[in-house]
Amino acid sequence: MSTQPTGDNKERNVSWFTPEIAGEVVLLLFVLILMIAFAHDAYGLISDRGYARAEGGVVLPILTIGFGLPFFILRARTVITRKKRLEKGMIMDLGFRVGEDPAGERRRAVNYVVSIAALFAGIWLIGFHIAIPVWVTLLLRRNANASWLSIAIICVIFLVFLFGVMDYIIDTPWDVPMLFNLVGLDYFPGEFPTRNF
Amino acid sequence: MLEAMLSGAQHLFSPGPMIGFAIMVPIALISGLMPGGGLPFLVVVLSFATRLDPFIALPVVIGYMAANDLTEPIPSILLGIPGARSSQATVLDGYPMAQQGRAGEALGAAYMSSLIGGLVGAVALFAVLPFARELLKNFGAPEFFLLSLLGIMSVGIISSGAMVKGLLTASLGLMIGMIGFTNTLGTTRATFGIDYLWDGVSIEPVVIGLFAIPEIADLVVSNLPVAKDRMQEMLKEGKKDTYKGMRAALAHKWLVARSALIGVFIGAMPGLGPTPAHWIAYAQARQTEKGARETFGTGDIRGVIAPESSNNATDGGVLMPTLLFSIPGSAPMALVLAFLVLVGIQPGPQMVGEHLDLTMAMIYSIVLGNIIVVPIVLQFAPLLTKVAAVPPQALAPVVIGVVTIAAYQATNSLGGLVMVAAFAVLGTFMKAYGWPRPPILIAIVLAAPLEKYMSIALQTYGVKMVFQPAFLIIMVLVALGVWLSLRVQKGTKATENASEEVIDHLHDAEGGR
Repeated sequence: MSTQPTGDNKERNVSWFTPEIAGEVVLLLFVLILMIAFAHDAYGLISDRGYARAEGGVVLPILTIGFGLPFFILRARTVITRKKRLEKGMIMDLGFRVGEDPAGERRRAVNYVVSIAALFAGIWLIGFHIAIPVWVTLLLRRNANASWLSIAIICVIFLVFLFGVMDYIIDTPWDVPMLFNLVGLDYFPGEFPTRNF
Repeated sequence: MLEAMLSGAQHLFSPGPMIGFAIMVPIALISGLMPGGGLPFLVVVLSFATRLDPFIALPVVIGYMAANDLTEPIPSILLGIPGARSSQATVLDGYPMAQQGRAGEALGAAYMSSLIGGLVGAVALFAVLPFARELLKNFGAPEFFLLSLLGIMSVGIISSGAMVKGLLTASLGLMIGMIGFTNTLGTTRATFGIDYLWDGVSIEPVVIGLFAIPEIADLVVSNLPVAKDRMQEMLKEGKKDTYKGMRAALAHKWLVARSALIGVFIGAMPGLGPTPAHWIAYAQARQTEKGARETFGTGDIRGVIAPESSNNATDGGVLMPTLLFSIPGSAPMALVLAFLVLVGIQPGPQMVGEHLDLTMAMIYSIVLGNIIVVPIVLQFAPLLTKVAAVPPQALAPVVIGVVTIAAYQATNSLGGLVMVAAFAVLGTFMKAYGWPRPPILIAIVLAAPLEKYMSIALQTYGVKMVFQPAFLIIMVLVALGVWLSLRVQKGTKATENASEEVIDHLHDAEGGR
């Protein structure tokens, strides 16, 4: 799943089941859903208010769809015919780098996705002030085999940042985590003193 | 103008920005050296900076970017790993110099060239301001509508090797940017019944999801090892003969000047940025310098001076189209553009009119960033090299923790994290399948002004706006700029691909010894 420069720029036939095609189908579907949503909104507004009254808000969506549609069709044609070109890397963006250990890469990719999902679930469940230090500790210990001292230092920096900058200086309003809601506890950072401006 | 210059200096050299600089410089140095750390940290800096006064935030952000760029030669020279794509050419001669025990000399030359390049870029930006001021006075809603539209399109077109996908993602970005409440209509668009989307899509979660999370994924998943076998040796050598290298850069003053001017010119073209600039500078040095064809690639100091003076000079160049015409000169400039909009400043006439003092403060901060950071980096280069060798598995939890907090604080809602997750999926797919991401970001940022100017222009001129002389001139100029950019890119890609093979060869040769 890479767009790494290969030097080979010839067209070739690829299967429907390769990630190259499947991924592009997902992206094209996403674009299509947005196009339909905006077209539907524009149609609703025109039939509701008449074009002249709806003009200000419908011209740009219609222009955007009109502008994007030919490129959508061109890309969809490439995907449907499954004649893919191995594309070279781009100036303003890069594909993923590919190493020589596909199995290890797959394992690390799954780990990465699961760990981020766990972090977001943890924040929703127990809040930033607990979830982030716990998550950082687990990952640093498990994946990087970091020493307890360096983990402790990093966690303290995070806590100072959360309590010092986010609570004391910025006075961030925190969403009450789900577990605190269930147990009926106040989320403690809400009680933390803040700087008075 | 003079008043704005003094006011800009007065604002910059006051306690707020100076404290900001003191905090930001170490962050810029460390994040710049972390593999893949530059962009995610820029997002974090930008999202927190929106809370500050623009006179503190903007100079500090620009200073951060200038300081961040200055870290690039360290891994390129000492480890043979390009610190960024805009320092790939430095590896070709910098790393062989380090292998010959001349690492300090190479670093000294790189930093003196970078310093001069950065100053040339700042002066060039300053010199352009009076002309831009006069030009922008003649622009009205149709011209600004066209500039916003062409800004989005040109970045899409320039997404090399993927023009169709680039333009398709530009229209995708416009659609995302139009989600939510619109003043022109007095109602919401495409919210899919989700209340969070009524206020539109906030830029910070988009940037974190589209860029930061996939970049860190790339690092963690590929887990490319850093060659540490000669690290200790390199660390010692990195402090030797730095003054000799600095003197060498000064001795090649015409090469520095030529390369810096190339950097300014290429930087000012839409969507190109420092990567093509430093390759062109390297190529012109190889073509024009005496004996360079034989010695470049074997540890010739001129092969370090040319790319380094050029890539740092682009800092001033890329700010020209970004600040004056809302056309980002590079991908990070798209973030700066987003940031300007977030703090309530519309790039263009305001930047050379009522906010000219702010523009001046930004120019001074490029100069200040370079002057402060170069001596620090020269002194601590060997120590800083250790940051570049931090394993991605140790880096990722820290960076993700910080960007998650930044995503939340942008909207003060867990919905921000959901948006991060959604855009992370989109960004990962786009990165994996070669759909360029910068056009989306630029389109989201420019969607609101585009609609505003289009609405005003249509009400004032109707479709006749396309026959306004300024409108036609802009069309021709931007088309010319895009054509030139495409030509430059075509040449650059070939050189870049060839250089990757040379860099691999350098590492293979070292491994074989």
